[in-house]
Amino acid sequence: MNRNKSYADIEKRLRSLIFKERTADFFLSGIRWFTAAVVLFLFFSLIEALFRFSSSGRTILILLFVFFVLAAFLFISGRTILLLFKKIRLNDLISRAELIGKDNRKVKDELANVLDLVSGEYNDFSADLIEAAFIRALDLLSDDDLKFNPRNYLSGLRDSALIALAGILFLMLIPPARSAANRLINYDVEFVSPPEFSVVLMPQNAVVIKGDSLKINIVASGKPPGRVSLFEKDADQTEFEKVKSLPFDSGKAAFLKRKIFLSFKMFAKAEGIISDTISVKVINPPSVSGFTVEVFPPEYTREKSFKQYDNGNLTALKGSRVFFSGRTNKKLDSCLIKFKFQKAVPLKVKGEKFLGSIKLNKNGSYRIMVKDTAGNMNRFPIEYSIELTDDAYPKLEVIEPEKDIELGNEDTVPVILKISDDYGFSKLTLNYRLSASEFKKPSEKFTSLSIPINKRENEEDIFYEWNLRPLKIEVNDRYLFYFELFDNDYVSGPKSVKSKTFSLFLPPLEDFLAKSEKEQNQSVKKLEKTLKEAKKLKDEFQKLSSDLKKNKAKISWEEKEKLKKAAEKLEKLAKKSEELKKEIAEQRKKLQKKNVLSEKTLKKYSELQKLMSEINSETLKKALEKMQSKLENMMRDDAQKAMEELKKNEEAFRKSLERTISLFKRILAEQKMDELVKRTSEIEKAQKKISDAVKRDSSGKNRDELTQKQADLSKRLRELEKKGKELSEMLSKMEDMPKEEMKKLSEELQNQKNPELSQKAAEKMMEDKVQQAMQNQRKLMKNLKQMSQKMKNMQSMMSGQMQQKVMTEMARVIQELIKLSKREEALKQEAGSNSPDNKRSKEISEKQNNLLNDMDVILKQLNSLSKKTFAITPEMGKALGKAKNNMRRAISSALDKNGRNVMRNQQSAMAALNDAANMMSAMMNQMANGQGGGGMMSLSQQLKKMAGEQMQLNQMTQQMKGGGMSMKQAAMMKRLAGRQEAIRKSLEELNREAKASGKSKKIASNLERVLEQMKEVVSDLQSQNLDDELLKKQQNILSRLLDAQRSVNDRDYEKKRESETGKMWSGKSPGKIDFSDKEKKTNLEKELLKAEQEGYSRDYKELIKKYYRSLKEK
Amino acid sequence: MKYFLVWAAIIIFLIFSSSEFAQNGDLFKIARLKYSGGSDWYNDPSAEVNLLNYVAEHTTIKTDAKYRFVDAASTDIFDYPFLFATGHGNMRLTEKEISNLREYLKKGGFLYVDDDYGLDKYFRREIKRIFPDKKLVELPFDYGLYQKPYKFPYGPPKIHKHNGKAPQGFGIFINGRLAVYYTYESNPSDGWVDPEVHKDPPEKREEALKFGVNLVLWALTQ
Repeated sequence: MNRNKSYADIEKRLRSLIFKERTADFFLSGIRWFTAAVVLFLFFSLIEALFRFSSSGRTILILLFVFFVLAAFLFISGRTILLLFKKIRLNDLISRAELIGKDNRKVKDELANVLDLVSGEYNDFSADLIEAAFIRALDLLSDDDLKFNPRNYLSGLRDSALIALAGILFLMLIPPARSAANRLINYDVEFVSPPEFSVVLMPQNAVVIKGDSLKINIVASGKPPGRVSLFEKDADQTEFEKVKSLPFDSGKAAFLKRKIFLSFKMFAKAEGIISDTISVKVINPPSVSGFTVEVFPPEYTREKSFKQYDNGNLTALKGSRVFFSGRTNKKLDSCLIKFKFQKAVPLKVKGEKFLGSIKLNKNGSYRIMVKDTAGNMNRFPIEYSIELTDDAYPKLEVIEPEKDIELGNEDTVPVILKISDDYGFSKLTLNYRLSASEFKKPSEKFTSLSIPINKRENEEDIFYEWNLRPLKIEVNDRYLFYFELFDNDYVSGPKSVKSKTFSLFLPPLEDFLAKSEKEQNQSVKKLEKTLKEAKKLKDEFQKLSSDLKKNKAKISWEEKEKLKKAAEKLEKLAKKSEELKKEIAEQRKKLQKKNVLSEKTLKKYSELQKLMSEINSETLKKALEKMQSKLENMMRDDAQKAMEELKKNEEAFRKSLERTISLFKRILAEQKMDELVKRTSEIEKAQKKISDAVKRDSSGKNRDELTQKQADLSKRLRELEKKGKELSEMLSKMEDMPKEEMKKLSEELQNQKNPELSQKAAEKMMEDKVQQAMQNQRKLMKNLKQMSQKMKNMQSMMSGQMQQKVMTEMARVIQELIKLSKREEALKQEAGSNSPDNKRSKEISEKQNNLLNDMDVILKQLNSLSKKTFAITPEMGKALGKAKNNMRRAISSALDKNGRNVMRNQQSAMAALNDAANMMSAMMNQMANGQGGGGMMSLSQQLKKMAGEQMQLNQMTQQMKGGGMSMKQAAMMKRLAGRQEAIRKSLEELNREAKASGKSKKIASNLERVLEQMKEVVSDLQSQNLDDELLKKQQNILSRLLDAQRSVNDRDYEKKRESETGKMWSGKSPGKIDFSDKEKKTNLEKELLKAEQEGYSRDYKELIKKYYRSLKEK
Repeated sequence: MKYFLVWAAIIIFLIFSSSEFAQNGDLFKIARLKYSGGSDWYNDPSAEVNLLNYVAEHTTIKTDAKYRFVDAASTDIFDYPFLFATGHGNMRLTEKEISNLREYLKKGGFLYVDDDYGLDKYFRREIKRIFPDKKLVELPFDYGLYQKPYKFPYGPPKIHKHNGKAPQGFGIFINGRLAVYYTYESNPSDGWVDPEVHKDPPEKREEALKFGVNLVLWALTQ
C-alpha cells in the first residue's frame, strides 16, 4: 500500500468530516442561538407582560434583548463560525482521530497516533513502524468512523427547535404574551394599558331577512362592568346612537332586536371599553307586490265573472273557480295557495310572476305563500277569507188551485204557479197518485208530469192546464197531487221545493146533490127565520111608532134607546140577508160547475141574486142612517118622521124577503127537476158503460168489478125513485105547478122497477149468466131512455106551464090597469069640468078613494104574482107606487078644494098606470118570444140572437163578393138588404126598450152607432155596392153586437168581486226606482267590499261606506 | 167704415172659430182598451166619463167626456194619448195586439191599467209579453205622480178592499218616461163610476177622482 495515498485519503476524509462537522456545528449553533433569542424574547416579553413598561422601558428591554442575543450569538455561534473558517490543521485531524478512537474502542488512539507519526513531528519512529501503525489503524477503522453522522446533531437540533417552537407558539397564542411581544417589538410606541375587561358582540357579522329578529349576545371577558350600552347605526344614519342599556354584572347579556328592516352596525360600550363593531345585513324576503283574482261563478248561474285587485277576500258561490295572477319582488322558486283546513294548491311560477287557479268548495281562509330562489319565504302573508254564498232554494207559490178540488164536469184543471230562483230552474213537475178509488187499485207511487218552464228565467208565472182525460177519473176517485220545483244547482245538486199536497176528488153526483140540498134547505130555513124576525120587528116598529105620538117635544132617553135598538135589529136583518145572498150564490156556482142546472134555472138564479140585492137597498141604509142621526137631537118630530120612513123601508124589506123566499122555493123546485134529469142522464150513461164493458168482457176478467158497479147502480136507481117522489110531494104544495103530471111521472118511474132490474142483472152476472144479465140491462136502458125523455118534457112543461100561468095573470093585471087608467082619466075630466065646492070635492075624493082601493087590489094581485115570477120588475112596482101616491095626493087636493092639483095628480097617476101597463106588456112580449121573464137576461139573449143573425148575414155577403153581379145575385142582395133591415129594426126596438127600462147604461157598445152603420149597410146592399168597405162595416156591426151582448151579462156573484170600500192605508214607501243596470250596482257593491277589506280603521270604513252609498243613490 | 166693420167681423170670426177648432182639436180624450181573453174589459163604462168631467171641472184641461173604446189591435189607439184598461178576468193578447201596444207605448202613448179584482195575474203575464225585458217597478211614494196636483203620501188610494192588501202602483218605464201605470189592490177606477154602482162613500169617490186627475196630468206633462 502506498502510505502517502492512504494517508491522503484518510486526511481528506478526516478533513471532510471535520468540515462537515464544523458546518453542522455552525447550523446547530445557529438554531441554538435562534432558540436562545426566542427564549430571550420570551423572557423579555414576560417581563413586559408583567410590568407593562412605557416605551422607554421597552426600549431598554429591547436593547438588553439585542445585547443578549448578540452575546448569545457570540457565545453560541461565534466559535463555530470561527472554526468554520479556520483552516483544518494536523492538530485538528489528530483531535478528530482521537474522537474517533473514543467512539471506536478498537481504534482507540491508534489513528491519532498514526497521524502524529505521519505528521513528522516524531522522527524517532521508523517509516515502517509508522506505516505498520497506519495500516493497523486503517484496519481498525470502519467507513462509518469517517462518515459524517448527522444523527449526532439531531437531538440537539430537535430540542432547540422544540424550545424555539414552544416559545414562538407561546408568544403567538397566549394573548398577553402576544400583546407583550407586540409592545416589545413596537418598543417606541406608547401602548394603552389593557383594560380590565373586554366586550364582544356576537354574532359578529350576520345576515337576516327583512322583518326578522336577531338575538345579539354581549359577552365580557375580564371583570365585567355593571352595565353595558349598545350603540347602533343603520343604513340611513350617519352617527351611532345608543339604543339599549343592559345590566352586565354577570358578564353576559342579550339583546333581541325585533323586526329588522334596515342593515345596521352595532357595538357595545361599557366603562369606556368599546367592543368590536358588528355588522348585520338585511335582505328582503320575497313578497307579493300585486295580484288579481278573477272569480268565475259556476256556469249554471249564468253570472259573469268579476275581478278583484289586491284583495284576496273571496265571497262567491260554491263551485266557483278563482284564477290568481300576480307578481312578487323576486324571482320565484315556488308559489302555493295554503289553506287553513285544506290541502295546499301549488300555482305555476315564471320569474317573478305566479299564475293558477283554485276551486271554492268550502268556507275557510288561505294565504299566498311564495318562495324565492334563495329559499326564502314571504313573511307574514295576509290571511284572506273565503266565504261561500248559498245557492238558495227555489220558491214556489201555488196561485191556483187555491184549495182541494172537487171536480164537476171539467176535464182539465187550471194551474197557476209563481216560481222564482236566484239562478234558474231545471225542472218543474206535477206529481199525482190515486189515493182512493172504488174500483181501481190506489197507487203508492206518484206519477210525475213535467210542466214546461223557461230555464233561462229566474222568475216566471206558470200557466198550465192539467189534462185529466188520461187519468180516466171515475166517481169517488181521489187523487193526491203536489208540485215540485228544482233549481239548476249543478254544483251541490239541484235543490227542490215542494208545494203542499192537494186532493182532487170526483164526488158522486148523488152525494153532491144531497149535500147541496141540505145546504139549500138550510138557506131557506135561514131566510124564513129572517122573515119571521122581520115580522116581529114590524110589530115592534108599530108599537114604537104609536109610542112616539105624544105631546112632549123631546123623546126620553129610554125611547131613544128603544128606537136605536129597533133600528139596529133591522140593520142586522139586512146584513143577514146579504150573507144569505152570498151563500145562495156560492151554492149556485157549485151546481153550475156540476152542470146540474138548466139554462133557465141558471137565469132564474141570477134574477134571484138581483132581487136579493134590492132587499138591502140604498134607501134602507139611508133610512137607518137618518134614524141614527135624528136620534142624536132627541126631537120627537124628527124621530117620528125618521120612524115612518124606516117603517116603509122595513115593509119593503120584508116584502122583498117574502118574495125572495117564494121565488127561491120555486127555483128549488125547478132545480129538483133539473137534478132528476141530470141523475137520469148520468145513470143512463153509467149503465151504457157497464153494458158495453160486459159485452167486451168475454173472459169474465172484470166480472166482479162490473157486478159491483151494477149493484151500485141499483142504489142510484132507488135514490132516483125517491127523489122523484119527493119532487112530486114538493110540487103538490105549490101553486101553478104540474102536480098531477109529476105525480104520474113519479108513479111511472116506480112502476118501471128499475132498481130491481138492475139488481137482477147484477145477480145474473154474479151467477155467470151473462146473457140474462144483458137482457135485463137492455130493458133497463130502454126504461131509462124513456124516463129521461119524459123528465125533459116535464122540465119544459114546468117552466112552460108556469110561464103560461104568469102571462095569463099578467094579462089580467094589465087589463085591470088599463081599466083603472081609463077610470082615472074619466074622474080627471069630471074634476076639471066642475068648480070646486064642498059637495063636489067630497064626491071627487070618494071616487078617487074607490080607485085607490081598486089600485090596492091590483097591487095585491101583482104582489102575489111577483112571488111566482121575476117578470115583475121593481120599475113596475115603482110606477104603481107612484100612481098610488098621486091618487092619495089627488084625494087630499080634492079635500083641500084645490082643483088644479087634483087634476095634476090624477094626470100623474094615469101616466104612471100607463107606464106600468106598458112595461108589463113589453115583458109579456119578451116572454112570448121565448126569452123568459128575465129582464136583462132577455136583452142579452136578444143581442146574442141578433149577433147570430148578423154573423150569418155577413157570411152570406162574403160569399157573394167577387165576380160580376148576375140577376140571381142581384135578387139575393135585395134579400140580404131586407134581412139587414129586419135586424136593424129589432135592434132599434131593443134599444128603445133598454132605454125605457134604464138598462141601456149597462150596454158597453154604442147601439146608436150600430144602428147607423146598419142603415148604411142596408143602403149599400140595396144599391148592390158589394165591396170591402161593406164587409168591414158588417164585421164592425157584428163585433159591436157581441160586445153589447157580453156587457149585458150580469157578473156572477163571487166573493172575490165584492166591492167593499177600502180603508185608509198608510205604509212604508218602496225604494227608489233603479234606472241603472244591475251590473253597475253589483260593481259598486264589490268595490265597497274591497274597500272595507283594506284594513282601514273604523272611521275610514264608515266614510268609505257613505261614499259608496251616495254613488249607488246616484 | 163699412170695410172696417167687415174686416173686424172676419177677424173676430176667425179668432173664435180657430179657438173653437183648437178646443175641439185639443180636447183630451181617454179610450177604453178592448183586449182579447174574455175578461169584462167593458165594465163600468161611466168611469172615464166621470173622470173626464172631473178633470175639466178641476183643471184647465178641456176634455171630451164620452165613453169610447178602441181595439188593442187597431191603429185607432194612436189617436188617444191615454188608454185605460180594466177588468176582472183573463187577458190574453193576440200577437197583433202585443205589437200594436208596444209600438204605441214606445212612441209616447200612456196606458193605465187598473186591476178591478182578478186581473192581476193575467195582466202581469201579458205585460211581460209586451215588454219581455222590462219589469213592473213599484213606484215610491215620493214619485211625481203622487204629488201633484193632489198629494197622495202613501201612494195610490185604497178605494176597494179586494184582498185587504196594501195598495200598490207599478210602472213600466221607457227611457225614463212612465209608459204604463198599473194599480193593484187599489181600484181607483171603481171610485170614478156612478155612485149607485158600488155605493162608495162620497169621500172615497172624491179621493179616486183626485187620483185620476193626478194620473191624467202626469201622463200629459211628464
